Amino acid sequence: MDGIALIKRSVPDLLIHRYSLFDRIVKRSECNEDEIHFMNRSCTRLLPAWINGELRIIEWGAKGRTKLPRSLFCNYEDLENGVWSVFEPESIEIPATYAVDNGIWYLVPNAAIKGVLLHDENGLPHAYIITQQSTIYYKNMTRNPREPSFLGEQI
Amino acid sequence: MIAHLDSDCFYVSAERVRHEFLKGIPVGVLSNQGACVIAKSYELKAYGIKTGHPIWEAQPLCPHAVYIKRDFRWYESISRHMFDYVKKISQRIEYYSIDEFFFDPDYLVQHYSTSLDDAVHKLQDQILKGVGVPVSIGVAKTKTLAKLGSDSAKPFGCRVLLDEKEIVDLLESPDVGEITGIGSRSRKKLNQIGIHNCEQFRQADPKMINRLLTKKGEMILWELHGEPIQNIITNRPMHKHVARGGSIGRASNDPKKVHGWLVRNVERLTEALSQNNYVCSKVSLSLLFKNGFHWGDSVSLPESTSDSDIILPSVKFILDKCWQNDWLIVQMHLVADRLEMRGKHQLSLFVNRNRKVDSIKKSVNKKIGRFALRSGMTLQINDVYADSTNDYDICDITGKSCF
Repeated sequence: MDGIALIKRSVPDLLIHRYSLFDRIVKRSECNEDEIHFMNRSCTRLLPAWINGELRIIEWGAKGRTKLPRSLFCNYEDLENGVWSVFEPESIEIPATYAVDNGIWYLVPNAAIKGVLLHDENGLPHAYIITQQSTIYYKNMTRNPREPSFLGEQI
Repeated sequence: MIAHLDSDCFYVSAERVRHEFLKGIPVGVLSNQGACVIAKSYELKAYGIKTGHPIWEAQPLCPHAVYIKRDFRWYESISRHMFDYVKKISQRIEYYSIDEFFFDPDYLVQHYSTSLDDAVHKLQDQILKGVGVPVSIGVAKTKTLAKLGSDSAKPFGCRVLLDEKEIVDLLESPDVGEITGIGSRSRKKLNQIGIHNCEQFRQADPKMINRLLTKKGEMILWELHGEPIQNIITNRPMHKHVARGGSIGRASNDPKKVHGWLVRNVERLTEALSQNNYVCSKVSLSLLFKNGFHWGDSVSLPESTSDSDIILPSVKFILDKCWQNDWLIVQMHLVADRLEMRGKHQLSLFVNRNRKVDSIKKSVNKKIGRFALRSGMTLQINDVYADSTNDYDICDITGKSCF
């Protein structure tokens, strides 16, 4: 999965200023609403996340000196098997209007993806997108054997 | 007079009703298996993407397009909503397809107390405001002309074709294949005798057209002359046949999977027969292989029935007899023919009718949900059942006079 997009009007201006999201604002077409893109190729990887009822922008994955996993995704199977329990993961919702995988943009069901929140040694939050084995439909659509865990029904 | 109402890129428009932010961007709705574009917005069409285009070919043509998984339950609810709007105004209405209706426009003039032209525009505005779907409307003396009128008015246009000059103007440009009822084979035959556009077809000798395209072709020709031959069908007539099937997803020659799909299609077919109160005495099976070959065969049943216990062994017999296991299957279709209404058919002395599997399945599924109780043979394609959107397909929408 390459990233997500959120329509700009769903993100408070305060957050856009605080996290300098201006250069992430994209117009998909001339007469359409602005979107904010959170891509894994960005220099600073960020994700929006609902944490305790508050929309926040946090680091996607972890880099630098930390013991947290380096990947951007958390396998649902590993989570179930307790592989991540050492990091004390908390479940979060990642709001997303669209997601892009292998270049295919698609509408995210219920506008949310499941994620986990970990805290590093300095107490800073890091978000990971939960993935699971793709349905045939998703695999046909994106050619990716893993798909994000959506809130509600899978694609 | 007859009016034809046709929604503009219906599936996309229906998605835009619940996701307004999709307006103005290239949007494609994907097929049952997520591999092909089955509907596209005008913005996507502008990039040369057509219906049936595989997604991996469409993506490079328009990298910023957004794709959506189809949801026929939602599309049907929008369709019924639109139908109710028109029905409130026009008593005579035909539910032609999920996004097309024929209706009597005389009611419009009475309802809006204005000219026909204005009334048609008012209905169009009312549907846009009330339902959220843009539609195009054509009005003419016949169904064929009205449909050509609405097609030519797209997107979001209206065309009233009562003047002879206007009709000639309309018919001069479209390809003869644009006429409903002129399929690719008929088009080819017409092209061979120098008929390429609709006006050339209209000016042809009716007897010659009858010889070339049978009575059906001649009927279309008279409709182009403004002679109403086809009426508005307010109640769906009895089907000629009932079919279920389609793509089996990833091409397969795994006998367990193929039999799983066969059982699924039989269950869907018998369900459709039972819903319509039909029985059939002939069933056909057709397969499309990955190498492009097509194979089909049919079998007569011991009596007219909708019982899966009789239909399944019959189609399994023809599958096992004729299928070359090394060929990968892409599509499978089952067609029930020689339909009769249940209770009006001849029973056989030699058929055991005490099986209750279908009725138990029906009563359990009615309470719990479609496919909650199904044959164990379908466990081989469990992933299909895991996706609940596969529970409801375009063919499950009842009452349409066309597919």
